[in-house]
This record gives sequence, structure tokens and C-alpha cells, in this order.
Amino acid sequence: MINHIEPNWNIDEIKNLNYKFAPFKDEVLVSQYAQSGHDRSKISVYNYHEPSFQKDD
Amino acid sequence: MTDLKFQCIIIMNQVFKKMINHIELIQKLLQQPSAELLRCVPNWNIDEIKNLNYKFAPFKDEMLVSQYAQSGHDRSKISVYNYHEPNEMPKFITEHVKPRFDFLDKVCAAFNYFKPGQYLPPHSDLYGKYMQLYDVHPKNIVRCILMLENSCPGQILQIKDSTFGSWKSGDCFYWNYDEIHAFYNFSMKDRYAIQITGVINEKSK
Repeated sequence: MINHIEPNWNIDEIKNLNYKFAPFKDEVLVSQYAQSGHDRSKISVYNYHEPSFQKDD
Repeated sequence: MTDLKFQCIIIMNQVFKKMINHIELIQKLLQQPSAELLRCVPNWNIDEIKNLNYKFAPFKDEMLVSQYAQSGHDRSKISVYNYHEPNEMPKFITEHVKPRFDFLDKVCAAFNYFKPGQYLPPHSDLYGKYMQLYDVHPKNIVRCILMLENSCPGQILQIKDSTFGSWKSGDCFYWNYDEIHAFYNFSMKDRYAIQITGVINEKSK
């Protein structure tokens, strides 16, 4: 298992990628969290991924 | 032969690293309170605790809250519900809990709970009312959180560089007066705890 990769990237390049807002896709689970008091809009992430990458999480 | 030597060096290096980690762990444990201070055997009625007359309490360090809000946090979630003295305390506080903290003077207890989605991001406590009431130097203050129920996934406590995501009812967590800590309730259940505040007494120094 890999525990660490020596940093060798330009963080500014990464920060400038064209991220899209992505609410979590498990609507049933998000509804449960929202009903218990969480803010639905905060259960989300921004991502930028390969075209072929099927993102499930 | 060179390969063998190289492998030996790698293995020795790994063993040495493990020994260092082990020594560091022992040192860390020695700096922490002894095991008997880390747990208070549950002897309370959780329904009685849940029925106390809690008040909504936004975190009082307005400058810090504003910084968090400006960075994107929802101000209303940076809060807690609490119930504290001089309100009448349930009997088990004087009979069962406070006696366990005999290494502290000027012991003060308060209940708090976090609803799902509520949190207090990294901060130092202010002790405003406590210092006003007891006239103590803040450097001598110790604070403890006594968890009243087992944790459930998503409930997270941070104290300095340590993060805790699992505890049993009765477990205690400590920090000194201005040490940075945080609590996040990312679960679907309320999290109830007793906050104990005191100063280390002379006989325990």
C-alpha cells in the first residue's frame, strides 16, 4: 500500500481547474441527513474528472 | 551480496522506525491523564438529561465566527445548546460525577448537546463567566468533556492534533485552558455531553 507520494505538483494549476459543483448522488441518504438537521447544500463537493471516469461517490 | 546488505539496511531501518514510533507512543501516553481519569462509569438517566431546558448558544468569539463565516461557513451552525449552573443540576452530578474530579478545585458542570449539522470549528474556550465567578488565572483551568452516550458515525472531536471519532458513554477527554479543540456533529443523532471545568488543586500538582 502507498502511504505517501512525494509532492511534485503545482497547486495553483490544480486550483485553477474547471471544477463543477457536485451534490452527493445518494438522494435517499442526503434526505435522511437533511431531515435530521443538516444543510442539504453543504452535502456536496466540487470535482474535476476525466471524461471516461464514472463517478459514483 | 550487495543486494542482501541493502535489504538488511532497509529492514533495520524499518525496525528502527517502529521502535521510535513505539517510544513516542509511550511518551504520549505518559503525558496524558491516567486511565481512571479517562472514564466515568455511566450512572445517569439519559432521558432526564435530554429533557433539561437547553438554550441555543452561538459561539461567543464573534471575531472568530466572522472569520469562519467569511470563509464560507454557515454562521448559524457554529453553535451549541447548553444548560448550566446556576440552573438546578440533576442529582447524579453532585453524587456521581463531581466526586470523580477530586483532583480539581472550583468544579463547575454544564450540559451541552449538538444537533446534527451543528459544530464548533477549531477554537479556544473563553471561560468568561467561569473566571468572573471563581477569580482564577486562565492558565490553571482544565476542561473535560464527559460523553453521555456512545458515539455514532459522523460525531468527531478534535483536541490539538488528535482526532477522535469513537467513544463509549462515560469516556472523558481533556484539554488545558487555551488548547485548540473542535467538535463536529456530522451524524444523524444529537450528541450529549457534560462539560467539566476546574483548576488543578494543590494536592494533585
